[in-house]
Amino acid sequence: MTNPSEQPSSQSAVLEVNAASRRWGTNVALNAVSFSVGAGEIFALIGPNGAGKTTLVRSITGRVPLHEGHITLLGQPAGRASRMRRHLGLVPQAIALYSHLTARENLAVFARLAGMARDQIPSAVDRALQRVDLTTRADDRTAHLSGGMQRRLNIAAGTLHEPTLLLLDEPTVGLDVAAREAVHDVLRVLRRAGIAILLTTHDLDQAQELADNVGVLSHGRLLAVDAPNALIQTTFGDAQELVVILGASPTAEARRYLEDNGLRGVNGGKVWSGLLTGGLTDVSAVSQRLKALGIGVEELRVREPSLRSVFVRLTGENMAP
Amino acid sequence: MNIAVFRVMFLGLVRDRGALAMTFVVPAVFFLVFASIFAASSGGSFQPRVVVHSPSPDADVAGFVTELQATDAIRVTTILEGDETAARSLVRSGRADAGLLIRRAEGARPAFVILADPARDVAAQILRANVQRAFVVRYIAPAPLPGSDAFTIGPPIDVEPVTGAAAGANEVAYSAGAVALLFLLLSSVYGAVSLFEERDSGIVERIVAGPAGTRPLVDGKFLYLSLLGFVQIAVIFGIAWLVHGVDVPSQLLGWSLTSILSAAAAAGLALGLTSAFRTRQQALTFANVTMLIVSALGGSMIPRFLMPDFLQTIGWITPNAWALEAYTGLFWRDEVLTALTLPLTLLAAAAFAGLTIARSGARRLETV
Repeated sequence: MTNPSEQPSSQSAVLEVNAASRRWGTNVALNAVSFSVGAGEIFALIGPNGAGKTTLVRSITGRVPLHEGHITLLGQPAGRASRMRRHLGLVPQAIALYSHLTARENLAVFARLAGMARDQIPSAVDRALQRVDLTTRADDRTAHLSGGMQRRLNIAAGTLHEPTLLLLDEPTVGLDVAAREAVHDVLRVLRRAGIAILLTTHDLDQAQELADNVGVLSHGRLLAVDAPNALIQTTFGDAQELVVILGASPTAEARRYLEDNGLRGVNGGKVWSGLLTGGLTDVSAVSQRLKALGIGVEELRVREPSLRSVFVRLTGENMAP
Repeated sequence: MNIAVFRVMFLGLVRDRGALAMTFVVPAVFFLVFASIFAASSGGSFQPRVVVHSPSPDADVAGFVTELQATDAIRVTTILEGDETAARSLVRSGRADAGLLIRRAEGARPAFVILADPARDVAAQILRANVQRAFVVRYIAPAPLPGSDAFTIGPPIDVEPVTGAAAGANEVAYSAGAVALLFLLLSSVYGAVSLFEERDSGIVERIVAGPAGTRPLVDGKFLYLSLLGFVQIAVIFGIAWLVHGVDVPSQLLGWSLTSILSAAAAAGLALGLTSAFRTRQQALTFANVTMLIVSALGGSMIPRFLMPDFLQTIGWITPNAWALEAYTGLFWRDEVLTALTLPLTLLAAAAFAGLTIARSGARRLETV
């Protein structure tokens, strides 16, 4: 696992975040966060609510000034300068479209607001519609499109001007599996087009499936940055993961037993996880010991570790799948 | 359970300053303003401002004027002698509600000409009644003619309208302007609050991440609301022209300028006002109430000359007053465009000021 503070600064990086720090009163929203995103790379920033993801994205767009550190876009300071913002595309979590306009009309409006010349707009709109596979629905009102189509159109509106860096906030929230896959396909197309993508998400499976690199953000600190599989390998090695779901909150003695065996509680509650190594290789013994300590075990599971396992291991928190 | 819900509602009120103001402060202010306006318009306290002219005032005329002033029904604000033009000018410009020319041949009782602005006909009627009263008190009552009833002998009074050639059917022009401005302000508010919808839907966030910032958003709304307002005014004046014969075509240039600047002022005012609020509901409520008060003060509900002096003075800060001043100038006084420079300039200034405030308010959305 790469220590985020030691991550090398790439000369070809589209986005570089260096020791970015920001406080809201006494609350530290960002604490010396550093990472970089290259062209054609999907970087997933994962973290629970309040981790600092929104503050970081707003710092990149220049809406939130940093107290320390700096952010560069193509080697230039990112911020409110108009010439730098031309390189940025933003896809908010909400469907940021005019529902009474057609897909084509929406894209034309946002192309103009992105500073595109009038004569370039029709071809850019056609290209964007094709990219998100909405050409046949181009003249339908946005309100009449399905949720998945609206999500794809939402992405298209952020990429009309061919940004160098695309910021995506939870692009698949609320979608069914098929619609989610369709959005993933769009993101892969954008990656192939060389666009650097910074994706903030709660969906750890999405991050594992899509991202070239993942940053784990918790309480304003970037705990780890690496490729998903590298993060899993670094955290778990070849070991499997043991998940214990207790019937009740553990007593002090039970808690000590679990901690002594390398297990960590999730969200301070009944779910504990750790590596299936050392003294924990005998799973049935764990169950019996906990019962002896007066704590029932609802479920005891051994599984291949995933990015979710890494996240839980690093943050002690879980996020809904 | 009932108490629990009551508590939720009560805490919702006391913890929301906007709701508190709407519940207790705004209705009180609204009542104070409207009570002042409508109490005056019901006739109880309307005192027309009257200019009196006599070419060569002597003791007799002075005595008559003193008698004329001995009542609260009218206010003689100016007494002129010499040329009558100045008196007509005061009435034409609206600085006096009516005028009285006193003409007297040597040794005879005076004859009178009332200078009337048809837009303020009630002022002329009140003046006429008071001239009759003063005449009777001054000339008839002290020496009644044998066999005559003093109160059946009135003085010779002619009425001279002082408005321009465009007067006549153009009384409706005032109503057209007044109604148009009222609805213009209210519809501009509804258009202006769409910025909150764009903020809540993430559209503003998307736009401010790009090179344009919020300025095109505000300027685009200003342009749209201005043009929409112009069309609204055009529809109302079109009806006034076709149904009531208001001679819009003969004043097309002045009407167009007044209308587009009025619409721009309403758009600017609505955008500027709503930009001061945090939520759509707050903005909508406060702006609507403000627009109703502005419209009332500006003469869109009842003519301003019927209001007390202090409300007339306050009314000059509203776009309605300047727009109606311009429309009245065009359709009542038949004024040339250059005479409308002041109201048109003020409307343009209001539009620019509102737009500037709105731009500034929207810029706050660009940073967190």
